[in-house]
Amino acid sequence: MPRPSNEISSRHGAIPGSWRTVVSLLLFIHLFCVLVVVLTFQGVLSPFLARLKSSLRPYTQTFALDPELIPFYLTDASRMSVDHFIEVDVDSQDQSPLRIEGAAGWLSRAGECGRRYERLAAVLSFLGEQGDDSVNLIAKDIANHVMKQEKVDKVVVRSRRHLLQPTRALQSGNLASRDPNDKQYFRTPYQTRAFRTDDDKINLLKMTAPGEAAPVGKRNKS
Amino acid sequence: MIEKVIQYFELLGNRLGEAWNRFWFTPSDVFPCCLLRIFVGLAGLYYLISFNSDLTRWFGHDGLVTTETVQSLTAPVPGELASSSFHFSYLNLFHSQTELWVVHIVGLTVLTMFTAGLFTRISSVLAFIAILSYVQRAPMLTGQFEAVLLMMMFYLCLSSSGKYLSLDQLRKKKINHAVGRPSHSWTATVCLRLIQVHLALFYLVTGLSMWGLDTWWLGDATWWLLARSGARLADLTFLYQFPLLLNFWTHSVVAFVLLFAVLVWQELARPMLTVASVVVWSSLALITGLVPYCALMIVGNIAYARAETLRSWGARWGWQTTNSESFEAPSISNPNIAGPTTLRSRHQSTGV
Repeated sequence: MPRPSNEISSRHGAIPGSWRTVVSLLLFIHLFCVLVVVLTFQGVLSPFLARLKSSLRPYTQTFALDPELIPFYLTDASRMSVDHFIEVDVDSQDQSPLRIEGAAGWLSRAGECGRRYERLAAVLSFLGEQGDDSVNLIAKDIANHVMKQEKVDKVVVRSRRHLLQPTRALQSGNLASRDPNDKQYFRTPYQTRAFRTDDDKINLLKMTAPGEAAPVGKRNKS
Repeated sequence: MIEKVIQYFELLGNRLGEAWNRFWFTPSDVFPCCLLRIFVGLAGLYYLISFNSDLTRWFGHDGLVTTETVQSLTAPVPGELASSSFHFSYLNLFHSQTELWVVHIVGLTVLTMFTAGLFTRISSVLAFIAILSYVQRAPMLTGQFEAVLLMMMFYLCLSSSGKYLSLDQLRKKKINHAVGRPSHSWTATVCLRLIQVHLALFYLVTGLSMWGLDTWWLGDATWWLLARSGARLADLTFLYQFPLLLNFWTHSVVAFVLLFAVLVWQELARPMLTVASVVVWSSLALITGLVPYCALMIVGNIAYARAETLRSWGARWGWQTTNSESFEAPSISNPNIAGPTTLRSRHQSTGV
């Protein structure tokens, strides 16, 4: 352990000598944990690193120090680095789908409010494509929320992906390709039918294969 | 021979120990922590306010993400209820609209107290718990902003960030309690050093992950960012006609992020890096729409700034940035590991 420095301990506001060792130890442990979780926040880990990271979880997760899958790199142009949104077909007179999103406007777009809906849609798309069972839990929550709100017993929940337009599309003479909102730029990674049973539970029935396109909805619900 | 090896390791141990002590424990000015408290508090306040319009929609009984779903998603083994998950949040205990609004208003009050610097020692910890609870309630909804915000709030709990620019300062002045209290402490050093190291680590990891991605190497990344019509603030897609400009922009971002992590430890480079930081993060805010995150990264520069510079800027704005009884403290922005000459000159200036 570092030896006390006379220069430091003699100054006003200095750390008491007896505390220095304890604080140094705590700092060292904390920095070690931060270093491990931040440097291994993405990618495949060796069994050793995975076990080490897992053993630090009680501390790093409690204080949310682990950035886990947060894309600090901003974009990798992959399927997860594009816009996502959730649409719900409500069994009603109005046939246009309901879009689950935050308040409209510039402030929502520039802020965290609108981002949360987008992140939820991205998670739904990702888990849906992976065939992960957890996707059903999210879809049930969304379906239940809309059913209660719209007072209906069956809905169709889908996540939509808005693909990015490559620069060559803008250079091409094809008018459809030049339109960033053309249907060729939309995919449906996950879609399920949800209905409420007599015992007030939500059942799901997966509908379409991943990647199938569907028309773009216009009705917004904030 | 063995004696020399032992001597070498003794010397190494002593030097490392001294450097460690200088780096972490040299008492430093609290002012940068106080300034950070205001900006970070405002960011935290904004974060909570952003839930105002849809608080029950997210966290209510029939919300979009129920507690059970989150616990299942965050479990180490997916699908299992997370008994070994460590995402604690007081919001898990409240579900009705009234309950949620009561705790939300309490959270807003705590954040306001922290920002204004009222009972800062306590309100900083409570504010951190409040923000942490919102993040832990639904971790899958969080992004870069929350990661940086929580990190800064966590470290600000360690220092007495209510010393200046705060209601605490006014309160103590009224009861004449501040006399003889120093304006610098080792806790401020630990707080600022932790923010500096952690932020530099974020920059390093960001830079390295960009370095490893084809989109950033090929110079396309800024195009892919500004092509996201749902996220960007301004439509700059006309720039497709200038591919070299897009390439340059992309490479500049990677270069800046990587250089920041390395050069920020050199005091001479800091003014340049601060200016570059404002330019790069502002441009990224424009094309990504991640305004709160980019703003917080700019605010992060305060942790590296010289306390004297910040004080002089504050004085220009009419802030009371000194206690009359306090003497000038050495700034930790002045690298404390610089060696005996720097330390000697500092001792002369502070009269120690």
